[in-house]
Amino acid sequence: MKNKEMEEKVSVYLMENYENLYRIAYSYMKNREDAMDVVQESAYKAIRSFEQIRTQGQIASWSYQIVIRTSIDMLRKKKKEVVGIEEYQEGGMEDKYEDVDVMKSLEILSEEEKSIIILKYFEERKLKEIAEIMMESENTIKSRLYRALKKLKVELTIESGEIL
Amino acid sequence: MNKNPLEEMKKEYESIEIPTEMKSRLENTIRQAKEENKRVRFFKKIPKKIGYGAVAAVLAITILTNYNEQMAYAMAEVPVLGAISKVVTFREYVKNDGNMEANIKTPKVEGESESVKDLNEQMEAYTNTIKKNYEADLEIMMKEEGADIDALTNKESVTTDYEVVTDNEAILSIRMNTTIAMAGSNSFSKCYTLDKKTGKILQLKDLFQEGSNYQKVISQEIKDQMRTQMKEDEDKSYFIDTKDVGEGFDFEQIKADQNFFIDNDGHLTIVFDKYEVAPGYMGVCTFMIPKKAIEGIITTDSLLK
Repeated sequence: MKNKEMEEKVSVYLMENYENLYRIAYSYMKNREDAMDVVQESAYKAIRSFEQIRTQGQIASWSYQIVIRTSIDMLRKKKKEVVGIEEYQEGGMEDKYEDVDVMKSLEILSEEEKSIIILKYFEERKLKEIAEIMMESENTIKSRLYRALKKLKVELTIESGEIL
Repeated sequence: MNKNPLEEMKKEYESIEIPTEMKSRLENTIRQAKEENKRVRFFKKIPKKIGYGAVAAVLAITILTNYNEQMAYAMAEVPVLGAISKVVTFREYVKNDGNMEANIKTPKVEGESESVKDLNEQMEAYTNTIKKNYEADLEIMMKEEGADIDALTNKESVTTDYEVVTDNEAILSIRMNTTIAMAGSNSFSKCYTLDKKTGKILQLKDLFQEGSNYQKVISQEIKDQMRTQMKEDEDKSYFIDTKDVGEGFDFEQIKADQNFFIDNDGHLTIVFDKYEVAPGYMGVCTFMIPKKAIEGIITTDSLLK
C-alpha cells in the first residue's frame, strides 16, 4: 500500500538521521533531556502526519521543520528566551550549555536567523530547501541570512578583538 | 566574510554528543506512532454513512420490556415506540484464536415498524463490518507471521458492546462502543438516535435549520471548551493550537455526520473517537453543547434543550 510505504520511509529516515535532528534540538534546548524530548515528539508527529509528505525528497525538510517548530514551542513553554541584543549588552550570559561553548554567539540571533545559520552551515542544506523548511520565500531567507551574518560578524569581532 | 568562525562553530556543533539512550527511545516512539496509525486505519474502514437499508455496521440496542405492550404498540403503529423501548442482544459473536479474540454484540430493537426494522438492519450491518474486519486481520496475521499466533505483536482483541444512552417518550439514543486492543488500544463508537415521534433515525444535520452552518458553530464551541479545559487542567491536551505540524493536524471542524447522542435532559453531546481530537491517553472525548451556543440555528420544534 502506497501509504504504508511512505510511513516506512519516514521511519527509516528518522532512524538514519536522528543525530542531526538531535543536534538541532540541542542547539535550542541546551540540555540533553529536553533535546531528546524534542526528537521523540518530532518523530511521533512525523510518523503520525506522514500523509502530508508527498515525495521522498520532502521527508528531510518535513522533519527539520517539525524539529525546529517543536523546539521553539517547547522553549516558549519553558519560558526561556533567546538572548537578544539587550541582554548581551548587559554583560554576557552564563554558560547554559552542558557541552558546547562557542555556540553561545548564536544566541545573539533571532530564532529564525539561528535556524538559517544552523541549516546552512552546520547541516549544509541548500537555500531552496531552507526556504521550504521555514515556509518562506528564498529571498526572505537570503536577506535573513545576510542579516544574521552581519550580526555574527559584529559579535565575533567584539569577541575576538580582531577586525574581520 | 571570514568563514573560520563559522567552521569553528560547525566543528563544535558536530561534536555535540548524542546520548546513548536516544536510539532506543526513538525506536519506541516510532513503534508507538506506527501502532496508532494502524488503529486509525482500522477505524477508517468502518463505514459511517447511515443509508436507508445500507449494509453498514448495525448498532442494535434492545431493551427488554413487557412483550405484550410492545406488540400493542406495533399494531397501533403510533407512535413508533412507546416511552420504553425493547432492546435485546440479538446476536453475540465470540471468537478466540490464540492471541486474537473478538466479542461483538449485536443489539436489536423490538418492534414491527419500518424505522425500527431499518435501525436494526443498520445496526446489524455495522457489527458485521466489524466482524469482517476482525476476520480479515486474523487472516493477515496468520499469513504474515506464519502460524505464530502467540507472538505478542499478533495480539488483537475486538470488543463491541452497546448502551442505551437515552430512552424516553421523545427519543431513543443508542451508542455502540468498540474497543480494539493491540499492544495499546483504540476505541471508537457509533451512535444512533431515533426520533420516536417521527420514526426517523436522526442525523446531526436534522437537528438544525437547513443551510445553517452547524458544523462551524458546534466546532467553535468545542474549541472553546478544549481551550478552557487545557487552561484549567495541565494534564489535559487536545489537538488544538499545536502550531507544529502544519495543516491537517489540529482539530478544525466536526464532520457533517459526526457521532452524537442526545441525553435524557435533551442535551446534544458530540462524540469523538480515541485519537480523533486528542492524544491516546485522553481516551474517548465527548463534548456537551449547551443550548445557548446553538440557539440560533436549531429547528423550531427542536428536541434539544
